[in-house]
Amino acid sequence: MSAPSAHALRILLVDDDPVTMTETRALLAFLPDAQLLEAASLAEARHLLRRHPIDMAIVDLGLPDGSGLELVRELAAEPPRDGREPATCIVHTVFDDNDRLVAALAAGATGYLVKGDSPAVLQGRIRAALAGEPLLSPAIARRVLRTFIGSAAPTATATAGPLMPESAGGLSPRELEVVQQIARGQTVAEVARALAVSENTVKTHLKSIYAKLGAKTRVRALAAARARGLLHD
Amino acid sequence: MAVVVAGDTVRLTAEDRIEEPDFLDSWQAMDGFFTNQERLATLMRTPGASLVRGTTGAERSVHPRVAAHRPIDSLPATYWFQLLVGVVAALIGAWVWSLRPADPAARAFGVTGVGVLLSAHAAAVYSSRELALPEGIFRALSAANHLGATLFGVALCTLFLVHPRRRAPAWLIPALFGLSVVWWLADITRVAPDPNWGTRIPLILELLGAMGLAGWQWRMAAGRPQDRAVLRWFAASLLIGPGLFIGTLVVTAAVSDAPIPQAYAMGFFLPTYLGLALGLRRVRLFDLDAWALQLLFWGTVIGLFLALDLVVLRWVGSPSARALPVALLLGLLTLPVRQWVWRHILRRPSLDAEALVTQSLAVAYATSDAERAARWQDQLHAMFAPLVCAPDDAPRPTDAAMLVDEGSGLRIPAVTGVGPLQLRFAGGGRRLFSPADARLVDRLVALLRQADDSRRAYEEGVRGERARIARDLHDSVSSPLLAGLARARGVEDRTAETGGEGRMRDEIQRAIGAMRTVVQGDMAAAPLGETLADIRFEAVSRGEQAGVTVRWPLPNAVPGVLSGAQRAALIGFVREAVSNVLRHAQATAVEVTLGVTPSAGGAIHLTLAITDDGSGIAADGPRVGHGLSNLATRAAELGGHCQVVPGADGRGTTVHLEARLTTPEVPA
Repeated sequence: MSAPSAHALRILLVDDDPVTMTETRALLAFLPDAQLLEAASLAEARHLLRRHPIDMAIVDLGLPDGSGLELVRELAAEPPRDGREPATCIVHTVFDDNDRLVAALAAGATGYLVKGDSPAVLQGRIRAALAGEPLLSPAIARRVLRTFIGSAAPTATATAGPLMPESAGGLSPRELEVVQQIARGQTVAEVARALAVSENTVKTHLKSIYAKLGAKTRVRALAAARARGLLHD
Repeated sequence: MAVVVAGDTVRLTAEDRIEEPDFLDSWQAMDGFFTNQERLATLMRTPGASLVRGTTGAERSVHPRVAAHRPIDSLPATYWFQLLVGVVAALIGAWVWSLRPADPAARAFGVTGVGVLLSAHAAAVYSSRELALPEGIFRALSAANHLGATLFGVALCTLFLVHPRRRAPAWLIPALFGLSVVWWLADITRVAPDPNWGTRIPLILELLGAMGLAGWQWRMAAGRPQDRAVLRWFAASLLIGPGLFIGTLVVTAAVSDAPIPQAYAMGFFLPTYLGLALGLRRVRLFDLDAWALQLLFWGTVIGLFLALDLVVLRWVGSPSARALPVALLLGLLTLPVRQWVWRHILRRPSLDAEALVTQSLAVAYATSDAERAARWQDQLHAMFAPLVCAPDDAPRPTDAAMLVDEGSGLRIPAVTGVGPLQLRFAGGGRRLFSPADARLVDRLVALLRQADDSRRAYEEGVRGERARIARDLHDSVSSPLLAGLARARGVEDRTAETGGEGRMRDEIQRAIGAMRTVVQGDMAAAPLGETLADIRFEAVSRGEQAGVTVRWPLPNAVPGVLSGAQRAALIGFVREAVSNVLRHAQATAVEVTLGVTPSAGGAIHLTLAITDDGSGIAADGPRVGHGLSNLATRAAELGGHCQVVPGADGRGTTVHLEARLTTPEVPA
């Protein structure tokens, strides 16, 4: 998802805190050609997005007029414009618990920045996101497994042999295998070696898994809202 | 007593008054009886006949009015009763037959009804006769009575030949009917040597045959609870009906001077018919299954009581005023016994409500889905003792408990975290699931869902509160902290050369860390396997980023649970050890070996060795000191100890950790 060299990298920063905004701006100095767009609210961000296609967005989660996840969701659903690749979304957060990370993943984010981390760590994450490295950890993989097959016991399922495809709750057998390996603590490189495929193939599987996770969580949220009488069929 | 007509006197004997000539023991006696009946009937029709009673010398004569037709209101209750029994039996038989016209069992059942009709109606006429019937009519009625009885018996045998499963070749059934008719002809034409051979032996053979066939069907039905349920029905019905009929006639005749009228004993066929009909119809068979036991039970109890009363009457001597209180007293004494038998022998052990609720809550509050599934299955096993408890693979999931295969199976709807199940063969295959079982499961599922909802509401409340605190901290605390951190970085970067160790930055970072802990909670307890996966992933990833190969074999399934503190210590230990290698050792490869063995008291013995091929500690000098003391602290937090061992040839280092991890109490 790295931007082609035909045009300058355009990055949207959304944050209502001027101090963080200044920090982030300084952080992005390592991308000298980048054009920065800045917004302090969802409304401002939407306004800017209507006129400027972007390559990447770094979005604070707690905005005065709503959650940054709304914007991430909109960006993920937007068709690419001007021949650009779909925008890479990074969420910016003070808290990095798994609930928030998985929610961000399900919304379509590909990376996250934890406020207060050292600039080197943060730059490393931005670089990874731009290079299309999917966000992952065994904890996230367990969460994905729990969402899709109702059990996060990676050791049990991984040793029990291949599962029937229909029991994977929408994941393909290969995707299930990938996510189970990661849940056991293997890195992308190790999984690629174990499955005799390229790392890019593993990453593609992960992105597809996260896309399905987003769809699944949206369906669940709708069902839950319906059950609570917030929505009508 | 005698009937006298114009000088012709017929002395009446006790035999002339009997209801049923079948109790006479020889053809001779029977012929004599019929001849007497004929003479009496003829005399009675002669005008001027008089009935004389009293001892010789003190006779009193009565001149009965002999009407051409018997007035309907003079017919005794026994007549009407037998008529009723015949009609009810025939109607029920016809009902079943019409419901399942193609079913040979239903047809056989219909024939038994015809048999009872024929038999009871014929008996109704002659058993309620006024003194005598003409011989021709009596013989015809008696023959009809025998035909009905033998039809009943042979049809009953047929029934058990084809029900619940067909066990006989097709030719056998008409052959049996043919044989019974031939035997009947031998009976009425007196070809048979005596009435025993003519009437009783075929009937007894038929009844014994039916019972034997029923027993055979029972044996063949092993493993098919629905068939056995049907057979239990038949056993119950047979015992009550023909059993009581024959039993009471024989027993009362044996112990009492005044046997119960055969006409009333006929009444015992009515429950038989209801029972058999319902069993055949399989109308809500599962509810009726419990009934069948009750019928069997009450039938036995009634029989025993009757027998007891008769014995008491006999024992007390005569039906005098003394007998009644004794019988009543015995009845009172037997009531608790009856109750006890009912509760302990016939009823399934029932689970008390309190235990059910406790178990359900244990299911609802299980900490993991696997545990919840295990507890739920345990509970279902405790309640129903099914032979099979397997995931329900029916294409359409059920939302309420559902009986399948006529009660062989019970489908259990999914509850949170546990998919739908199907139980098969309740009570180890000895009984069927009943609608009551399904209702019980539905109540439990509702209870589980309720408990689950309240737990979720609680968790949601906690989450909501945490979210509120997070928002507040984010808005009011984190911004100034982050601003301070940025400023500290700026200041300390400028003063680095003057010896600033970045203390302000560390302190602010610690404050931010503390704030995260407030919002996210302390690290929660988690399985050791998951924690090791997290640690391995982090170590290998960091190695990959730094260009150092971390070789850490994937562990097999690892048991045990770590508390939040233990997890934090273990994660911190490995992180620190890997940091030391990456920072100071100039290593190219790191080897991690892990040993997890269960030890006494549910604890886990953990050994960990992290070996690098770097420059060794000696070369690193005092800089390592801080990192090593951190390792020792983490090891102590885990309740273990660590050792740092230099490599054999002066290159490389191995960090050993050994700890006995006690499993934390899982909060209920």
